[in-house]
Amino acid sequence: MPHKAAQSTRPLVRVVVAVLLIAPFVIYLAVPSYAKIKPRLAGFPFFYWWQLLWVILTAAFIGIAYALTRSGGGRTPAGGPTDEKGE
Amino acid sequence: MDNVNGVELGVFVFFLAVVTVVGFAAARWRRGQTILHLDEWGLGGRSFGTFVTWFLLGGDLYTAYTFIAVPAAVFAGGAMGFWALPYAAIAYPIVFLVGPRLWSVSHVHGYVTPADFVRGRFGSKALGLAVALTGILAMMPYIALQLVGIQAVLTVMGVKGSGLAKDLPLFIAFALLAAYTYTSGLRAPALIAFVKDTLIYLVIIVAVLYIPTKLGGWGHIFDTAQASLSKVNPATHKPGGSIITSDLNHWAYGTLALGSSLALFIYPHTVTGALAAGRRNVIKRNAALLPAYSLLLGLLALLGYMALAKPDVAAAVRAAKNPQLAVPTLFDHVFPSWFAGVAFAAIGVGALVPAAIMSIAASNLFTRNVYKAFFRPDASPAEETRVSQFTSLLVKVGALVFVLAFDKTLAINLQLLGGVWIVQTFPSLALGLFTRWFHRWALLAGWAVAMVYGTVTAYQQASPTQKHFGQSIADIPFIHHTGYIALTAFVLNMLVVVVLTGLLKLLKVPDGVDETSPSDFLADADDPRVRDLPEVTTG
Repeated sequence: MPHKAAQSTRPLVRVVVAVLLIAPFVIYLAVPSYAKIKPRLAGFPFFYWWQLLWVILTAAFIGIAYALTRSGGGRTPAGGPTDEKGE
Repeated sequence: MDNVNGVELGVFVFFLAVVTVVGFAAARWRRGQTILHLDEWGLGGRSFGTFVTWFLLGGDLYTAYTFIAVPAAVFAGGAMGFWALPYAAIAYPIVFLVGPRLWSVSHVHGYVTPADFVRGRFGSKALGLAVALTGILAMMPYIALQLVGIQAVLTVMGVKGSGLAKDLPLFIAFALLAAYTYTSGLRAPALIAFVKDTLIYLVIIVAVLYIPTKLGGWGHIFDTAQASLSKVNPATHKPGGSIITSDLNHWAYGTLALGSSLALFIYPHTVTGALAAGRRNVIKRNAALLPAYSLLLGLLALLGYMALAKPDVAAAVRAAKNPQLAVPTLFDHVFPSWFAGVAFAAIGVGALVPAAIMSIAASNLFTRNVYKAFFRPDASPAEETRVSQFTSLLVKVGALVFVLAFDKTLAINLQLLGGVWIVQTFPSLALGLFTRWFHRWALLAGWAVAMVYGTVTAYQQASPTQKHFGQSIADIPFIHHTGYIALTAFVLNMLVVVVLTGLLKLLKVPDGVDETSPSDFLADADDPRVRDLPEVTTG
């Protein structure tokens, strides 16, 4: 395990990655929060453009999580104590 | 449409022919030493990079489900059918967490199927068998959904008759699929995915840019769809739906999205596709890239509203009592014949590719975790491949049975039913990648209880057209909202697993031997322990 020293040296990164990966669940499962017509965007009711927008944001969040776990020591937070190797 | 549309059918047949040729050629593409290794046939030698993996995973994730079933659900039920979008978004954080660990441990230990991993991790052949059988079972309705998609396209092109002739085109398409899957393995779908996804992108871009202008813009489409959905259905005396969810179905919407997202990455065919990646990071990158397909899924879902907004299309689909015809009929009415043919080819090929990958994945499961594990432990690689090829044919036949026997009022129910089953392997497979705390017998018991609960509950659900398996949502006990059965069963599953694990540990019942070590879950391609396939099968 050549990169073991990297483990939990950047706890902040792990927290950020956790937030990035959990946020889409919170957004999408709060169904009543976006079940409305207005405001419309380009004809799309809020219900639709909000959810489509979050597809792009979810992809971006995962991309950032990838970049963070790739360059630094922090790993995916749910990786638990064994998931420590940097890449 | 009493007559066959010759132009549409001609273009459709042309593209299917191209795809078939590519399929046969694929057998020679990037060929390893021999195709007669299960890993070669079933995983394409596991050497795909980010781009091919992206196409490959996209190819099996977005299918007739995307083009036919989801728009049909939106056409019939309005916003409720749109739950597939949040599902297709929140599945990817799970892929990001689960995928790389599964890739690493599989490449260190030579696991080809999800059941291989579960058996090795928990030291239980019985648990491996449970996961394998669940996977095979769950694949069949999913493949059946692909068949329904092809059927819808052929119906709109006018290929229909009575008696045996009605299903003939379906059998021809599947014979083709079976032939090139049989000779080329996973490489066929991988190469075909290029043709398919190019077609699909083209059709979608044209559809979402061109059709709204013909129908008076997006705002008008949503307004007309709302008006059409709020009409009272004479059969149920209720409105068909609404373009936003209501208090009655918020729970259903959320649980369908969450339950399906748990299912997405543990389907045997997604695992097969992901293991074919050349490096661990390829999967992580793909978790961020694959939502591009989800965006398309969302826009395609809205084709259901476009079909509602065009009165002649809506009337034709309702007269046929088959919402699956919504998108094909819309294309038939608004596109010139030649482009409708291209669009139908995209849908047809888009159904064939995942069906191929799914049947390969199911047959891998049977060969390794049933045949080899229990009947012929010393089967040679060549024999494994032959058994796998034969099983892949049987699985396709099984799916045909589902198509012919099942009510197709809402094809999306086929995929949801598969989800009810496959989600019950989530604790052993996905959670098992992170913790070894669960006891093997607790996992088996939780799985069994949840499978029975899920199947019985799904069986009891009636719809206006069907007495059993009418829908995949039901009352959630204690909460008294309607929710996806898969998720309720999953909660039950976890309760049993946790309680029994505690109990079994208290009684000191011996646990299985874990053949993995923590570092196995992190190994990348440059790790000496990561093996290529020929070594795995011959050594």
